[in-house]
Amino acid sequence: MREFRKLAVILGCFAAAAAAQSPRFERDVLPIVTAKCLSCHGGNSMVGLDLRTAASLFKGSHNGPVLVKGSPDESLLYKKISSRMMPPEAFNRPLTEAEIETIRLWIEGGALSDAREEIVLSEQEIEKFNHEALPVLKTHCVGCHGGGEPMGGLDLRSLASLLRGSQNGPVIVEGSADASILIRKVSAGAMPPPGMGPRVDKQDLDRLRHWVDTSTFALRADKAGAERETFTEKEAPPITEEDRRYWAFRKPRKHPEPAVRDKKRLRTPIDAFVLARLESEGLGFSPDAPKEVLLRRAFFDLIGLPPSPEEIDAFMSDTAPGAYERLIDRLLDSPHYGERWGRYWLDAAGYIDTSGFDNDIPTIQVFEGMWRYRDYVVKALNDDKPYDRFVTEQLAGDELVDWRNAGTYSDETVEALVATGYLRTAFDRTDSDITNLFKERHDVLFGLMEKVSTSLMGLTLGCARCHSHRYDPIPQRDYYRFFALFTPAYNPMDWKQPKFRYLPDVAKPEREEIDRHNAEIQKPLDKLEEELADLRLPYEDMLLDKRLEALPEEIRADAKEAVRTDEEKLTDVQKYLLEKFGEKLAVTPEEVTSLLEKNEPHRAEQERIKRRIATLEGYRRSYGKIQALWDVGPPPATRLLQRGAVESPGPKVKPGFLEILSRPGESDVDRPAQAKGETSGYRLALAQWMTSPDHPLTARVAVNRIWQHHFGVAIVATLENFGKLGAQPTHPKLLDWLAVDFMQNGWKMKRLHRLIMTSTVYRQSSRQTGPAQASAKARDPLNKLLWRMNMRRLEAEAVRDSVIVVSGRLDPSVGGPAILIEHDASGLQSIDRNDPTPNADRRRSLYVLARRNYPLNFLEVFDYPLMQTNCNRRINSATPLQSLTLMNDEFVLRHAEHIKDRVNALSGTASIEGKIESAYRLALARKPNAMEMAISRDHLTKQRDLYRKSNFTDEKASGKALASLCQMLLASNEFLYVE
Amino acid sequence: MPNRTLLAGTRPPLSRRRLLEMTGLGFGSLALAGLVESESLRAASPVYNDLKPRKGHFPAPAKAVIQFCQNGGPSQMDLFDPKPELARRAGKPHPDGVEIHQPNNDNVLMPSPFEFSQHGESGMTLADILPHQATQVDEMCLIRSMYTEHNNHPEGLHMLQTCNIFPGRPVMGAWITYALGSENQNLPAYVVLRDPEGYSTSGKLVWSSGFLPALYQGVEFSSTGTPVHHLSPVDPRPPGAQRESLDFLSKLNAEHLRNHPGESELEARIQNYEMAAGMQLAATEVLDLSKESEATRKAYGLDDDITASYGARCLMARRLVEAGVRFVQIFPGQGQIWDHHGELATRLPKVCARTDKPVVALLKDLKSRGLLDSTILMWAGEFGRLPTTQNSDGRDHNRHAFSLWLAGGGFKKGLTYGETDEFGYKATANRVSVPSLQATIFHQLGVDHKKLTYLHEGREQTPTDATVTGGEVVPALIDNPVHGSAADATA
Repeated sequence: MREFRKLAVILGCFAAAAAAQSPRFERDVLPIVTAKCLSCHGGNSMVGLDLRTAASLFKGSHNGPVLVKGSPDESLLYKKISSRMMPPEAFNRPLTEAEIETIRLWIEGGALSDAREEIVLSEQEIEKFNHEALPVLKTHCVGCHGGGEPMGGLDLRSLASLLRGSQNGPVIVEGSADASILIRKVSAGAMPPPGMGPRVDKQDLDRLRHWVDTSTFALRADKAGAERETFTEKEAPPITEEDRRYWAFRKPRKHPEPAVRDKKRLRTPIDAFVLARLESEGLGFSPDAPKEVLLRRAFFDLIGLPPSPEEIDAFMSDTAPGAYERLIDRLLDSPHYGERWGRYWLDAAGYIDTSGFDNDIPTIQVFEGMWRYRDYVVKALNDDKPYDRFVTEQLAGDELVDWRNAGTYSDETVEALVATGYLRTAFDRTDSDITNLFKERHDVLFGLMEKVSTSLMGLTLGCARCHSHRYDPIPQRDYYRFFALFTPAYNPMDWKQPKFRYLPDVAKPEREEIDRHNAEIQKPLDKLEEELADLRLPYEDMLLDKRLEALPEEIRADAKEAVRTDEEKLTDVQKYLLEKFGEKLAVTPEEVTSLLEKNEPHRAEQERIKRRIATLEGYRRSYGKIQALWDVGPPPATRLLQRGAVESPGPKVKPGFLEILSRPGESDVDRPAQAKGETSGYRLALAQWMTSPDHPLTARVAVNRIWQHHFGVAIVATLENFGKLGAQPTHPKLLDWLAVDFMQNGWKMKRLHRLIMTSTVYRQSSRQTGPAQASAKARDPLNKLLWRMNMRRLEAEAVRDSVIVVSGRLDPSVGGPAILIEHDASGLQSIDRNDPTPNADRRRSLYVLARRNYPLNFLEVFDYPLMQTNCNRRINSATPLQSLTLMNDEFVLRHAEHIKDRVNALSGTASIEGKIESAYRLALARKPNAMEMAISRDHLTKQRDLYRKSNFTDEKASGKALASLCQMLLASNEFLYVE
Repeated sequence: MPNRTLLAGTRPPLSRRRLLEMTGLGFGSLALAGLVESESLRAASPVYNDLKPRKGHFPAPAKAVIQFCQNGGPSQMDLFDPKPELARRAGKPHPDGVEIHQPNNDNVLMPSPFEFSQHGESGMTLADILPHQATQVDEMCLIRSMYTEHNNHPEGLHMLQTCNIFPGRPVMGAWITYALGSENQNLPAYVVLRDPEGYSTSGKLVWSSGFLPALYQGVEFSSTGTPVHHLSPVDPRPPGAQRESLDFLSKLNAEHLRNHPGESELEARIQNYEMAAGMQLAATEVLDLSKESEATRKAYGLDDDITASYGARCLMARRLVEAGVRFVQIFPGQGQIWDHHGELATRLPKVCARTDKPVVALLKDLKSRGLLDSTILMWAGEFGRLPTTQNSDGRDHNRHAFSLWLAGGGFKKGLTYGETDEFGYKATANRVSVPSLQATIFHQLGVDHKKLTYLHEGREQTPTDATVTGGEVVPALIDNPVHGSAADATA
């Protein structure tokens, strides 16, 4: 093979040299390029590189020139093709050695071309423009867009100037009128501006459209933006004092507690803020909820599970003062607390266990080791890790420790690296080579920006990707400055596909030691494998020869040869033979083994080799994966993207923070002293900025999120948007008080839960039965002022987990790899029966594989979100499909049977009333009232009779009836709602 | 006591939507509280969480949509858009190169292996491998100048369905049922008929309600066995047992509601159980094809192994639309059977044979029942194919041009609209983007695609996201371009 290649090179050189002393573009290079490169670098000009003419090739790509005349080694074009990075292997159209040599010779010879280089635009294109578009533009546009200082920098008098675009970038997109701003402004009637002249009529508009749609510009002048190094006014509008006065952009301060009339209802400072507002409307608090209601509420709020009968008894019989407070402390100490509140954070973080598209139900690509991040979150919450530290580790854990040069990893190092998993859940399609393109890489960063800004800062930055934010003071420049904080890690020019973007969970020296160790074992293993193959070959041959007898004699030899040939080396004839006879000729390993074992010495020998292989395999060592984020190299230059398009780079940006959230003049990034190792420190600087007590939003967003999950509605109802388009706070002073108090007390989340849950606001009844409630409802129907507690439906996981708990089957283990799910032909998904996790179907829903698009059906039907980027608030719907699920789902029916068994076990030979009472206590944490007892008894009788009629025995019929009662309790509204 | 209502507060008066957003209660509960019920969409964008029938923004011919989801990328130059130039320049390179997607592409032009002929009074030209559609060209509105945004199947499908290449937005069917509700409260408003063999590419995402309430997502009806997930319990129960259980449940819930008056969500949930029970009967009945005449069954090809499976789904679609279902989506097979990267000459005709007859049977059936004028048929894939060869005898994906057709619902009959270049690579004249196509379909249902909104993540979202995508109604495709955005576009 090597010989052949050498020959090809020699022939290639000979051919090229013979054809002419110096190759020319049109004659020698263009045919190669046409066949192998134009698919991406032709009319589509990937990364701006258009290889259709010598002149366009000389212009290079968005990133600069690709060719140095006379010097192949300095030419990026040659480097890329000679190292075989281009064409990408995935497209399966490699250049031959001869072709590469031709291009080398062409560059070396001065990159000659027959075309005159100075013509920037072909005359044909100019002619077409002058004929089709210019008359319309002259009539309607050049009055403003022409002459000395054309409006917006857009000069429409010539093709060249039109292609240069406006100060905001290109105004037309080759071949697509619909995507062209010029056409869209005109067709929407925005241009010419109303009052400045007649609208362009349909006929003229069609001419313009037709011109854009049918135009191709081999030599586009679209690099104007990249050459520009200053921002336009629109890209970087100044931040004004007025902007800074908006409440969410000012630092929160601790307002004094307001005075109230009804002082005896005050338990915490929170109560004063809420009650003062209520009193200003002539309202007051509702009464405290009864003890059993508070119990169930506290259980679901803190751990997401219902109380057991024993827990009910213990709490109800604890009449000493402080019983409720002790209950809260107990629940906060439970390992289930981290599972419950971790899930809320995982929603905000857009957590998923799968990589890639997750487009098809059967195709599950597990994001190996991602679950460690989920466990990190659960543990951080259980440990009551201060929120500022929690955020810092997730944004920059890799910069807090010098893992690159560590001899071994401590637990803290592993934890810090795992924490950066927060930055790894953005939708990344680049694993597949055909979608590992410049735009798709940027899409990952755009998604990341949205997630970070909504979950941590309560801002939707997405708008500023294409233009400065219309409502909030976020210039487009700031978007890309913020964006640049992440490009040293997610570097579009030096991209790591997700499958390669992981760190081993052991340090480099250990890893190398493991690799060396495994390589050493591999050598004897290879030898043993060879010995085994040699031993088996004669038997395989014997079997094959026997099979071949079924074939006509004349083709036997050829067929045998085909079977023995490596797949890549098969000739067409051999392929045909295999297709036709392959199946007939196939010899199974079992057949070979059974034949070989008839020869005792060979059997013993095979046994010995296999034992030896197994022993050696046992010596192998391995390491796990951490889905982390880290700087892959020095920071690249990052440019603003005009209209958010990767094809239209603008000026370079300096990495930095949002100016509106920084003190004036302090939005630049400096590498923090604490940054460790070969890293930019940008993300650590970001974390420090984000968790500074001066940051107007971080603490507010954090306490607001916690409030949301205690009350069902947050103080700022739009958790993801504190900007001008978001909801305004119902209790602005309370929000600020909570934020400052949170920071002053070490960003401790458990303390905040305790504060909220011991307040009178939280302890109110949700019922609206009294006259005071009726008038409050008339005044504030949506309970914005919290004159009562809201009734809330359980989230998907809490519904499913409760069903498991009530059946007494929950496996309370915390953490571990995600539990796999499988699906049946009808698309219904359930826990994979082959999952190796012990009690896989009894674990909490948090541990079930989190798929981007195909969550477990049961969870999906109760509004478990599809994770496009992340989820700041879940929908809370009530649909007939939920009803059907609770009526007929296998999971529900199976658990109803378990509950029945549990009831029978608990109440033994008790009366029917005893069983009913037991079922109520398990499912609803209370006893039935007389009316409920009566209808339940009636239900049991009727069901039993119906089953009896269908030939069930008395015992079975009674069992079925009791299971039905249990199921109906699970399906009841009371089960699904927390008072 | 201050003499002002809470909502007037210290800020300027709030629009109804602002109010909804500020409460953050979840739209469903509010809609059910009767605060935002409204019969017409013209009122400042109400928020729905039910399937009651609703009027659109203006009167319009169509009431329902049947989408023949021909996913995979049907080849335009082999079905709908003849290109003699390919034959003349067979084996030559495309001068500018074409944008490829997968390996093994050659920049070599490949002529269509099929013959084309003109048909009907309109003289529409189709490939001869579509003999049944050829008989109905005078009902069809063929667009040859479609183009889309991405060359990969999932992105292409999301674009076709949601006007965005990423998953997460509601599909067209979800928006339509959100806007118009349903005419039948015992069936889902949006029904999906997929191949019983398996899901097509992107599976359930192709009928996802995205950020709209889950009530508006497509509900899969299986064309074999039990029609809907969870329609009946896994173990059969004695007759009357479920009804008795539901009666008991409703008493339990009534008792609970007595203690929690004014919680409208609880009331809605009680009604949902009745709806679920109704669905058990209605769904089983509507899919029962045994009541159809022998002639009808034959017309749909139920007597032939090749067409039986797809034919059954097409016949079910008619029954569903007759019963008042708003949107029906039919898939031709598992995976993506129109995706011919190789052996196009032999494989494409097989897919045509599987689908051509049932599609046309449905069209004719609707027509004979007087339902075609009020039903939009949409025959479409997610993109087209390249004029050049891949794997020597196939074609790679092409986002720059594809063909599709519509029929009924006031779309022009016998119209051939738009053109592609000499090779069929790029749409050139009268180009139609996916958002513009959708805008036109919405228009035919009486829905203004710019006025139908839903607030999500701080933004008023619309079905076509027209401010970003530039989608506009295409008046040339329809008989009655007089309302809403169509009027704007022609002004």
